[in-house]
Amino acid sequence: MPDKISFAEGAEETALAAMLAEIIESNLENGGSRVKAFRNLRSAVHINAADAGVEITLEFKKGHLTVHAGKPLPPAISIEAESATLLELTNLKIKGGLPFFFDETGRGVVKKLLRGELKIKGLLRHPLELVRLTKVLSVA
Amino acid sequence: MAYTYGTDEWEQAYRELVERRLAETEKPYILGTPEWVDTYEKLVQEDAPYKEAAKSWEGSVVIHILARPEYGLERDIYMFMDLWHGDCRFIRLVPPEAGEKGDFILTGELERWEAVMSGELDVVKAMMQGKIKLKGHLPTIVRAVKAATRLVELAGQIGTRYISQLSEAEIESLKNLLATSGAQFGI
Repeated sequence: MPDKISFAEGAEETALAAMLAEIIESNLENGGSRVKAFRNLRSAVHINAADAGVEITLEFKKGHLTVHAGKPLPPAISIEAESATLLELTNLKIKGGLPFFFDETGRGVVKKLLRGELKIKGLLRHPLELVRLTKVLSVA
Repeated sequence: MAYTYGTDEWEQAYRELVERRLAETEKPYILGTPEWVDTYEKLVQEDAPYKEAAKSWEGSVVIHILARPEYGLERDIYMFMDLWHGDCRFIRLVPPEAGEKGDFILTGELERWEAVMSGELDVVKAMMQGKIKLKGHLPTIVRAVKAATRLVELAGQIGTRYISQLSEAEIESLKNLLATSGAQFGI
């Protein structure tokens, strides 16, 4: 089955939804481990850009992503941060198949996690899904 | 006399326009005028944090401000930034057809840009809200988000007269400038 990204009704008008879908689409076109991660993802991920008042849900189902506006289904993972921090997450490097936290961007993300400026629910219950998500979102 | 963009004559005449207006115009400059753009260019060219953040950046960025006739902005403004590996080769106003050829075009209404440049609105937030729209390869600009953010911060460092706050007389003056520069330079 070809990898596919689609928008639920009304989601395409949400800029954050369109941006993340474009990033993921571009990563899939580039191939490699990101495609494998995309095909293995099978969770709903809620992303809330709190300062922008924009929230979306990415519903992954083994090679198919549906992007929703808002939070229409219960997510396994929930990420809340300011807009700029969400973009920092997409700049995390992947090394050895894992997110790399030892450069400036990685350290910045860890600091924000510790300070509560980046909130991730499901971090401990779904660590593998979170790694896969980081891979499909990473532009670094 | 009307000049053709891309020719030496256009370049020279545009430079003369900038020099004349820098000499004649009192600060703070009005956003998007040739003297404002020239000031911005110098700031970016001399900024070490920008150079560091943008050292791998390749490509032109265009700030596209949509027309707002009620404030005297009767045509769209295209501010073209030729950026390469941390260097800012130039920033200038260009005709729409040249602006539309930029690698990355950031488009927004006047009030949005004024809010971004005055620091009231974060540019990333504005993009996520759809208030500023990007045309171009998104992952590339996301990779360079620090450089992009620094460019916006620098714009905020210029003492600026915002178009939406101009007096009637200033609006008339802006209209005249746009009419003249439109006829001569297509900008």
